[in-house]
Amino acid sequence: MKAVLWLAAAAALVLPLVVNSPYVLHIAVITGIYIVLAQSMNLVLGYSGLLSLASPAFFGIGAYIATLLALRLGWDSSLTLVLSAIGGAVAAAIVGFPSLRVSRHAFVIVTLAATLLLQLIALNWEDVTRGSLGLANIPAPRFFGLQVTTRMQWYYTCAAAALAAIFCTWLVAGSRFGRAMVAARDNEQLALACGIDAFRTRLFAFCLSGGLAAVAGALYAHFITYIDPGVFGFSVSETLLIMVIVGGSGTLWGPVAGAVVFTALPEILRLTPEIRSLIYGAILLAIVVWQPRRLFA
Amino acid sequence: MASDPVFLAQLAANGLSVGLGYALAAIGLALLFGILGQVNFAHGELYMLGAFLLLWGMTRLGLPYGAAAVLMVFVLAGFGALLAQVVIVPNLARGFESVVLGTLAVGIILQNAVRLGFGATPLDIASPFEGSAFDLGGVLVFGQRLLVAAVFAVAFSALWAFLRYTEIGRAMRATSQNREACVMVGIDVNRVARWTGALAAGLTGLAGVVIAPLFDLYPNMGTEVVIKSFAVVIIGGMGNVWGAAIAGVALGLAESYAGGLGNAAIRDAIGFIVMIAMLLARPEGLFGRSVRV
Amino acid sequence: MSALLSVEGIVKRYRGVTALDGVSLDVKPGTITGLIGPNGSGKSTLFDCISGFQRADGGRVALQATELTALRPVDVVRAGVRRTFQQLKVFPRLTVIDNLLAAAQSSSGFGAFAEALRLPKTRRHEAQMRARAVQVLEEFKLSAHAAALADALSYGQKKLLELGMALMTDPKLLLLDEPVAGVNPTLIEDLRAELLRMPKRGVTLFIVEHNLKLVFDICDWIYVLDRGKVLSAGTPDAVAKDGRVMEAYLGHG
Repeated sequence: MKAVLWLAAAAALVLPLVVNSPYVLHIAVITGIYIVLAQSMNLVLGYSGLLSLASPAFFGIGAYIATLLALRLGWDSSLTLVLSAIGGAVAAAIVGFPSLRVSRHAFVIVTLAATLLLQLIALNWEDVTRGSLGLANIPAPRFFGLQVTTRMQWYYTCAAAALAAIFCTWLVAGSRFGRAMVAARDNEQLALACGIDAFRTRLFAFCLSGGLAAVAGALYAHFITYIDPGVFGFSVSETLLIMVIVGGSGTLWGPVAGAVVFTALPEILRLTPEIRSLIYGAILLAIVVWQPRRLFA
Repeated sequence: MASDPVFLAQLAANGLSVGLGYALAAIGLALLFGILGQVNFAHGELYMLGAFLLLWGMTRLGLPYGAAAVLMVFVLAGFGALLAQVVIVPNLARGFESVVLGTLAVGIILQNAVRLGFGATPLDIASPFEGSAFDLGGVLVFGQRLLVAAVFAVAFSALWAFLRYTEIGRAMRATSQNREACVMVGIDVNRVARWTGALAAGLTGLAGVVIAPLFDLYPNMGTEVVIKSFAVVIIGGMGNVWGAAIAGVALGLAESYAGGLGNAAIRDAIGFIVMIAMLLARPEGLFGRSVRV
Repeated sequence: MSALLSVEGIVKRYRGVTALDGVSLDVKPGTITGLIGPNGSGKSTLFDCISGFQRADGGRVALQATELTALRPVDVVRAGVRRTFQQLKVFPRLTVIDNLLAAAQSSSGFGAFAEALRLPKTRRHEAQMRARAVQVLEEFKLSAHAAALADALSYGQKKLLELGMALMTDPKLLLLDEPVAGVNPTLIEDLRAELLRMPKRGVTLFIVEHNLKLVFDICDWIYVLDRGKVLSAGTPDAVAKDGRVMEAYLGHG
């Protein structure tokens, strides 16, 4: 296991030096963004055992915050990325604080409703978002004045982001706090009787998840250079669920492997989006029906 | 103009007819939640499937609207039983999120299968009721809308009688009250699940075949339906069929007035906002949980 | 001697049904106090109200000078009251030692950031708790299974683990809901010995149990609950002689 990990890390490190196909590097950058998103979902679905459909909401918030600050104010990305993360975390707190108190049913539906509501706002708040026209010509990110322009620079930027997300997950989930998350996931009543504040534990995990998803959104916006209300689209959730569940929810490296495989595979097999979604749907269905590992308490 | 009584009456008529459609579309979701305690995320896709199957029956099989509609409702009911057997039955004892994920997967499959089969360009169904309209003292009512209202009345009465007077209907009501007790007294809960799935999908398909001719058909038309249905079911008290009917009409009216007197964004947002507020403030909804007939 | 736990006039209603109808009782420190009564007499509901899992409609609960009324479960634990459940509960997907450590989580009170960043104070606390867990494992003869998943333990071992978890934070009062339910006679003997040692560990016990033989054997004081009210109270001998108790059990048990 360790050897595989080191080998993969070494391969990832030298990839852009060996391969200079813009297409491959493009996929690699997207993979990096998906790793951040997968860990964001892993914290909630895997370690906390909660089904959130709000990943696209925080992704979209991050994308719009970073875009607007860069386009309108020309702020440095080191600052806008942090502000995006804060925006995502605050949005998660607003969604999670009331809904996590009510019930798990309420949580699922409120996360979905929040996503759709945000899309509606992005569509209609035309003064700021230009509605369905979207925002184009998003500049390349600048970190302390240094621009990220070439594919290779992009690659290392997103690799760093992915690594940071993994590290962040390790810090939280691998700590005593992570043990409390798992305890609250596996048996809420017993966790409460042990003095573990299940509500606060979950809320923290959800906010962190929101922050990570927002950073992914910000990077995505800068990379693609165009966003519209479609960034709040539901299809991101479907891909993420596949990556995290098939990869292994509640493990540190499983979702990373899931993100790599399920970004690369459709490209290698040259699948159309419809066929890809059909396959993802079938895999998800098979796993849920079969459930080799229990997904929810 | 806003205070013109004919205009206000027109808004009321529109709201009422749209609302009856919402109610009809939401009953299946309410039933599944009320009886089995499960949330069906493929609900919107069942509606979409009903509409596309209708189109297919009319254009490919050359069936008239009425015959195709009836046939497809039964096809959908069969599909519902299958869905219940495959996705719901194995997950009854696991967390409810399992069924959410499973039905989500089914929804993704249906949406993309239809996209492959019919393409993504909006299509149109020609219904014989479409052209007709009635003028009631300046208030215009369309034939297809009247059909929706009539079908709603018939479907709702039939459902009521079914739950009340049939053996399986009684078993379904018993399951909604206490699933564990049902197992103990020998009620086959899996059979109840299949019947509930069939009934829910049949009703959702029925909504699809009567409402679809009013709008364009496209593969992800279900998203809007599912979220409206969630709103209706939640406002009506998760699983309360009567509550869902009333909430559907209320939402239709509220949207009609919001759209007529305010703007389209407010109209679209009203369902979400009331739904979220309801979930957080009164999780049991306005009318309380459990199936009541 | 003043009471450790005092319950005064607790009322709990569900949709018109009165589950607890003004229950008042005291648990004296260093004792084993039993709570018995026919099914549906409100025993578990009373435990729920004491431990914060349900909110009473009236009355008050206090642990010496600390008011427990209306506290959340987490805060009741921090005040020094631990509980177990009628159905055996452990964390199946954590190892045995992690179960014990998870049970000690509340004693830290550190924030999420302090935990995630593994600040020295949290590491020190973790080391203390680990030492405590090793000690508990030894006491309950579970040392050999420290690294096993809790799910892999036998039923009896899980029962012992559950008790060990309850002791991790050195609670002043331990509420045990049917500690020997579903347990075979040999293991009942083991558990009985463990329960009798509790007061020596400084833990006062308050037990709901249907095994009356055990209750009358180990308890210093017994309360009998019937239809939401305290029907009888006293030493085991006194309660055994109280005719109303048998009547309650036979009459509508």
